[in-house]
Amino acid sequence: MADARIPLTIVTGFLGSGKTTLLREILVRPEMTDTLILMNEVAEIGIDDRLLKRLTGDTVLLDNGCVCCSVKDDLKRVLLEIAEAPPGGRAPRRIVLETTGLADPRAFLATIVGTPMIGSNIRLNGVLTLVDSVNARRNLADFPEFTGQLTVADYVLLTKADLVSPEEMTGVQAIVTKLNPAATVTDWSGLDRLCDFLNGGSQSGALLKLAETHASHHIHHHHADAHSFCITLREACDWSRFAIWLSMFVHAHGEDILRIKGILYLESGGAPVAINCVQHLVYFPEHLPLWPGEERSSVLVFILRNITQDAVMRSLNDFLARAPALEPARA
Amino acid sequence: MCGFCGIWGAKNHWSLKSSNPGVFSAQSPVERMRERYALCAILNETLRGHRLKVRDWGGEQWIVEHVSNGSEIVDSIAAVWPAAEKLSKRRVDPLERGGGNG
Repeated sequence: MADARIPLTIVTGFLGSGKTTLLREILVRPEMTDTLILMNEVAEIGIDDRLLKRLTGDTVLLDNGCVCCSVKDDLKRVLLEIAEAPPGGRAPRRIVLETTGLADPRAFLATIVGTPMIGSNIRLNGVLTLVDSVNARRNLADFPEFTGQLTVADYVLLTKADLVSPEEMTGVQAIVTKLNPAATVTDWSGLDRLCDFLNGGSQSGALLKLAETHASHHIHHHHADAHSFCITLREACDWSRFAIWLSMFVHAHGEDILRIKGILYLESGGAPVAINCVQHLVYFPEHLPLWPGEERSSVLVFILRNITQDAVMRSLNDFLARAPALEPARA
Repeated sequence: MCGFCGIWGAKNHWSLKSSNPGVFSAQSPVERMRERYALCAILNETLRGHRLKVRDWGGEQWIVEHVSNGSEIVDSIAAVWPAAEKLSKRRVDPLERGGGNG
């Protein structure tokens, strides 16, 4: 059954990565009408007067139905208001939350995922991270915030491709994919598909492609003190057993977990289930469309610090393989 | 809130099938309790080495009980682990040999 909640996408990216340019582009696209943009300062976006319909305090209403709203300190309050009664009485079709350049998107994720009332009407669609292709290597080397923004990304938009050579662009793309193999990476030519994502389009394609690509071998990449790898589980697993293992793993090692993302092949059968985790924060699982082919396996991408792939594989395989206990606990 | 004991109930949690009706088929009250019993069984197996037992409490919370150090009532699976560590004075870590089962 389709999820009728309003998709909310967090847009993040380092200083100068092009977030404001992207938002300005989104505001004028016909398929993006009725977008609510939450940003630090509405004045920064430089809205064309011809589009402007009404300006009220921290809110700008555009002729095409889009609303831009300044969110200074109380994101939770603003989202609760939207969840309960959308501004102007009409629910937006999608919400885009723009973070400031140095912001850690994990704080926003924690607010959204950790407030059940928000989730009643608003669905966390994912994180879009913009990467400045000109300065990507330098930012990665000098700023840990950059790594944080990349590892939480579900979608990465490489900007300023016209200012770098094709070889350098390929290199930047490789860096991003190695650090976060679970993210979809595109440049400005893929804006249509990006808008699909902002509209709540499923990430299933990316995850299922990951499963197809990596199901037969382990991918292992190192960068600085973080490394990423894929684990494939051929046998169907029990959801409760997996959830307990994940909960325990996140409790014990949350500080060293940059990201866990993947799809599960469950004993209960049916469509694959997507799981997503950032440090201690585990998203509610989601159903994906049907499997693309005959292959059935769970594929999990881990981006971790200080924890080896062997340790994770051994632990997870051991835990999932244990026979269920014979006696249920008494109530 | 439980009308009998006044305890505020557990909230939705990502680990529960009953909290994910879009992913797992809607559960009857019997199926929900069956899920909680199954979770208890896995938790008890996991924490046996810590001399802990976990029981369902009112269909919404969990009691984590040490053989000699008392017990705690917690709202979610996530809260079981810090309670287990506090009561047993031992770390809970699935990467340790035995995967958390001592």
